[in-house]
Parts: sequence; C-alpha cells; structure tokens
Amino acid sequence: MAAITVPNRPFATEVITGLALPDGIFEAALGQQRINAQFENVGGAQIHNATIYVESVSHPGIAVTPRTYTVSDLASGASRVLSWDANFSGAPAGVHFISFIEEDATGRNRTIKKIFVTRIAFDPATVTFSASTPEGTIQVTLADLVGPKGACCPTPKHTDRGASREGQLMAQVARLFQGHQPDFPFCMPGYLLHDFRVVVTPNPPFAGQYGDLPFQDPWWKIILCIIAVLLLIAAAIAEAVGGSGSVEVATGNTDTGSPTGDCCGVRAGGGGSSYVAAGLVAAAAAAATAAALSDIRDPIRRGQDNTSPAAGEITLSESLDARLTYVEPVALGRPFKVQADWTYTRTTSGNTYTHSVSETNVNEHVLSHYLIDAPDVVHLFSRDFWVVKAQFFDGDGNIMSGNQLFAQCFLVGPHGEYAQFVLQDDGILPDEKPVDGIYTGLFNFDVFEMQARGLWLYYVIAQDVNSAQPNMTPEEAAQIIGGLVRTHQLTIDFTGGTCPFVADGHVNVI
Amino acid sequence: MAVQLEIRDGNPWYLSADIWVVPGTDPTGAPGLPIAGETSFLWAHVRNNGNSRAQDATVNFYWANPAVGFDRTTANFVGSANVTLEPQQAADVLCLTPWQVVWVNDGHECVLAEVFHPSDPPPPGPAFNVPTDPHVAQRNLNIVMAAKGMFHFAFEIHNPARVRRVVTIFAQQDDFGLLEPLLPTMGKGFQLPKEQGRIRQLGFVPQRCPGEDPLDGASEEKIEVELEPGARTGLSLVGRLDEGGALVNVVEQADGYEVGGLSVLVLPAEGR
Repeated sequence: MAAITVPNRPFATEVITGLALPDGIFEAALGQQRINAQFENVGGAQIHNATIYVESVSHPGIAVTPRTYTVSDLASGASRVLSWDANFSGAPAGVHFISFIEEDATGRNRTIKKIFVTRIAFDPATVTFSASTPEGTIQVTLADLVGPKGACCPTPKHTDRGASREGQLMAQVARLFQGHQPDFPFCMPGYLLHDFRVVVTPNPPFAGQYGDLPFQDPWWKIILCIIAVLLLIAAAIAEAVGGSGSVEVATGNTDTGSPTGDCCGVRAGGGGSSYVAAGLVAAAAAAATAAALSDIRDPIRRGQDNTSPAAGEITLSESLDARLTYVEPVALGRPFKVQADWTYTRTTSGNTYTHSVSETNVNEHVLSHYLIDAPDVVHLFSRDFWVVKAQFFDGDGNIMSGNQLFAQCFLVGPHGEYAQFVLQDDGILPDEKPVDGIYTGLFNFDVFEMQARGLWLYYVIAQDVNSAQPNMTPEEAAQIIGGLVRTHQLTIDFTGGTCPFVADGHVNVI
Repeated sequence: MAVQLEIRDGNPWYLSADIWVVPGTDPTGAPGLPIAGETSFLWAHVRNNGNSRAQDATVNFYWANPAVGFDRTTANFVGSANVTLEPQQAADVLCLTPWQVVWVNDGHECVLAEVFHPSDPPPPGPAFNVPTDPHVAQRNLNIVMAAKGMFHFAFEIHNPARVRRVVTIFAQQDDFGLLEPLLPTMGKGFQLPKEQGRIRQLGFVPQRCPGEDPLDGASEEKIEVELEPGARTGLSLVGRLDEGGALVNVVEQADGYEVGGLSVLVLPAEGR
C-alpha cells in the first residue's frame, strides 16, 4: 500500500483571488487555474524525502505545467497541500482524471483522482448563463441582485470600455481573469443573488422520479454557486476596467433583498485589498446561495421527491424559480439565516408538476472562532521570515486540523501590493507539529525589496475541503460541499453604509 | 552525460517491449491487445541513462494505422505525461488520456512513445527516426489469423518526405523467439503456438481485401513503390501458413536505410 495518498478530490483555485472555487470544481471558460491536492502520509513512519508530481491527465485539453515537488520529513498522518498551474481552455465539461506520482524510499506510487470541469456560456439575447455537464445543462437567469443602494463607482483609471463590452461575456470574463490592471478599485453594484430562475435540461430526458446529479456528485445548486462566484469577481474587475461591472441581470435591482433595510457597501482601497474584497464578496454570494438552498437536499432533488411523474412519462426539463431574502446579515463563516421561497416545476412528456417551498435555512460552513498569531513588526534588514500561525474551531468549538481545511494568508501592501501563501498543518517547517490544528506559513518581504516598507494588512482565509469518498453514493457525496469560506472577514448587512470588511491584522515592515 | 533519456527499441527495432497497451477502462489493469470500439491506455517504460536528474521530462504517446514510414505529422497524438527520473533510474509512465481504439486497430498495436527534456531534446524535424534515436520507440505488432492456411494483412506506406521517394518493401519470416519479451504485455494467458510454422508464398497484393484466393496475383516478397511527397498508399501482405504460428517482418527501406517496419504474427484460425 502506498504510504502517501490523496484523500480528497483535487480542487480548483482561480488566479485572481487565489480562493478555491465552490466545491473545487474547475471552469473551462476561465482557462488558467491551479490544481490543488492534499497529500497525506498514511503510513506508520515519517517519510524523509518524497518527490511528487502530476504524471498525466485524462484529456489533452487540460495543459498542466509540469512541476516536481520535494517533500521532506512528512510525519505519519500529516497532510500537505501542493499546487500546479494548469490551463483548462480546451477541456470539455465532465469528469476528468489526474494521475499523481509519489516516490520515496519505499518505492513509486501512483494515485489517480477525479476532478470536475464545467463550461459556462452566456447568451446575451436571453441574458442567460448556462453550464454544461455530462448529465445535462443548467441555465440560470439572474433577474435581480442585492447590492448597495446608489452604488457610485469611481471613474476607472484605465478605461477600456471596448474590451469590457464586446463579444461573449464569458470570453470577456476569461480575459479579465488573465489581463487586468492590478490596481483596480473595488466597486460592485450587486453582491447577492435575489430573484433567479434555473432550468435544468437533463441529458438524456429521464424516466421515473429522479434524474442524475451533475458529475454524479454535487447538487445542481453548486453550479449556480460557481456562476455567481465567477460573475461577481469578473464584475468587480470589469467595473474597474470599463465601468461595466453590472452583473448581467434580466430586470435590474428591484428592492433591498432584506426586510431590515438597505445592503451595505464593501469598501476596498484598490490593489490587493480589491482582490480580497472581490473574492470575499463572491464567497459570500456562494455561501448565501448554498445556505439558502440547503446542503442536505437541494431544491431540484426535493422537487423530484415531491413530484412523481405518471407511468410512462419522461422528464424533459426541470426549473426552479427562487427568491432569496436575507433575514440576517450574511456573515461569512457564521450561521446566518436566509429565507428561500422557491417553486420547482417538472415538465414531462405528458404533464407539468410543481412543488413550492418557503423556508429559512442556515449556513453550515462556519467557525465558532479562530485565532491568529503573527508578529506585528518585521525588520527588512534582518531578512527574517514573517511566520503566521492560525487555529480554526468548527461550529461546536472543536479544533480543525490537517486536511479538513484549505487555509491561505493574503497580504495587502501599502502601495496596493498583493501576495498570498498557503498555511500548512503538516509538521514541516515552519509548521512545528503535524495535525495539531495550528496551520502555519511564512513570507519573505524581501521579494518586494524597499517597496515593502510600510503597513501591510493580512487576511487569513480558510475554506473547507470536499471530503467525499469514492465509496459514497452520489446522494451522500452531494451533501459534502467544499470550497466555502469559513473565516469571518466580511459581513454583508442591511443597515446601509459600509459593510464590515476587516483584516485579521497588520504587520509593519521597517 | 547529463540527462540521457531512452525508451528502448525492440528486436527488430519496431517491436519495443517498453511500450504496451492496457485495454479497458482501468488504466492500471492488465496489459493486453487493443479492442476495436473500446478504450485502451498506453504505457511506456522510460529510463534515464545519464548522470543528472531528469526533472519533468515529457513523454508523448501516438497511435497509427498499421503502417510503415509514418512520422509526427501522420501519426495520431493520444496524449502526454510527465516523469522525473534520477540518474540510472527507470519508471513506467502512464498516459491517462484514453486511446479510443478504432476498427483499423483491432488487435493491432501500432503505437509509439517518445521522451524528451529541455536538456535532452529530440532531434529536430517531424521524423521519428526510431532505429537511431533513443528518445523514441515503437511497437508495431499486428496479429492476423490464417483461415485454411491463407492470410492477408493490409497496411499503409507513408512518404513523409518533401521529395518523391522510391521505397523498397520486403517481407521475411523471422524467429518466433523475438516475441518472448513482449509476451507479458500481450494479454493474460496469451501463448504462442507450440510449433513454429512455416510461411510459404509470401508476397504483396495491391488490394485491401484480396479475393477468394489471396495469393492470386501476389508479387514477390520484395517490391519497389514510388510515392509522391506526403503520399500514402496501401498494400496487403499475403501468404500461406503451414501449421503452428509464424512471425513475419515487413521492412521499408529508402536510400539503403530502414525507415519503417512492422511485424505480423500469423496464427492459425482453426482451434483458437
């Protein structure tokens, strides 16, 4: 048996914010992304020296930049995150596979893991986004978004309206993700989904009560979360690039989306903080959508539960008309409530069936609290590394450790500089002990040379990891959702004014 | 010596045992013969004969119709893989991109793999140069059944050169024992017939599907074919098998050098 395994499905991070995409699903329209995988020593002894690389992928449309890592002194039970750049432009939607090679003193081991790839397109005629999966196509029409009232964005420094308005929206999104001015000011007219319509066209139409889940794993709502995340990040940048960052909606903002008042606005000072703001607002949209539509059983499945087609009927399409109402502030990583009113419609070869629900659900991707320990002063002349340590406690107050989380530190410099690095709980320096729940990482401010001088903000962001295992049924696996932010840096409330968007600390580089 | 990568040729050079096929949907399954209409996976055994580490070397995999003389422009790219090898180390490398086996490949293994590294690149140009270039190896083994002793096997001849070429194609029976290194990757339980048979009336016909008597109108075991630049043509190898099984090698020569080759394992249809 191999000493090092990959216990969880490898997951995607996008290149703008560095955050994991919802449920770690890769999006072909984005092109460049990072493949991240956790490597766990499941043997009884420490592995002194291992080499790890991506051997091959199952489709030539996925171009992985080769890289071989050397991992030293990986303790028994410890898990380390490694990443590879990859371009998914040529990948069709579907389930794909990656083979990893790990070699140590005991031999050479191969681990083959599956990943999911979607391909999102936009139809400007119908203002509809669609994502194809092997099991069918999901179309999403965003009728309305919740955002700050009277959002007034600054004039872009680098106006490029032509680039932002032309052609296919998703091609534009991909371009924005690859080439934009890094000092863009953050301003988004809309943050959270409000009214939307989802249409699932199964491939092929199915007989009986239940259709397949996308990729035989996640709920259809995860695809909705991915669309929301990509659009919101792209919109933030598009607004800065060409003042056209209004996310494509069918009818425009109609009300506040909350019974308590107006949505606050997120303020970010440009540069690195805008990346973090864009990522966290998008993460809030994903978390709120996922919470509203429930992890246990999403509305499409519940609609199927409650609408049995007659014998001999074939289900041709399913739709969901939903309205989300934010009865509490959307506080990332906290158990906020969202009201969901939705109607599921099943259209069969012989009839139409509906099922409506009005309910309030709670965000389950939470931390009760987290602790961060990092020096507040770094001296450039001493060439010391800046070491940050973080501990995260789940909703019941239990410490989380090892491969339960994907933790990163984001640094925002005094002149808009931006850097990020992964925190590990693997016992490899600078981490002191494996799987003790203290995630550690380091940064060398020397890379910015003299420009590093000044006050830097830091954000330690932890996302959960999909831990579904191959022996689970699709329905069991679908209930496990990864890639949602659990830390507390952003709250979107409904008291107007400015949203609480708070760094975890600052470090003075002198 | 730096990085010095190799995928070993076979004997003859187009019968490499360091490339093989795993039929089915499990890429880590047992080696065997490709089956038309089904998925297969390609593997290569790659070695670093140098004294420097080969980090992130690239391995490319191709398939081709049963043919002689193909190059990178006429072979079908399947996919690629990466491998990191210490000095004097060797490893099996999997191409995780599945090979969708088409009808012309049913039972035929015209597959090729090449390995290279920035510090040990392949020679320039589209030609594979299998006999002289250690980076590349080919497994061009084809299995045909002889019904009532007669057999035929269609294959292509490519001229990838930019000039008209006259190539010589000749066939000859070779020793059964040359297949011994390949047996472990020819499928579970695959065995050669106990008796090495004798091939008679070996020759070529221009038809893809020869008539009732395939030997009718067959040319000698050695013919010359003239090909325009980039052209392809086809021939069928025909012959008669007396008992047992036999190995026939078909070689393409141009300007006095071997530029292509394939092997045909002829087995009796009766009793299999």
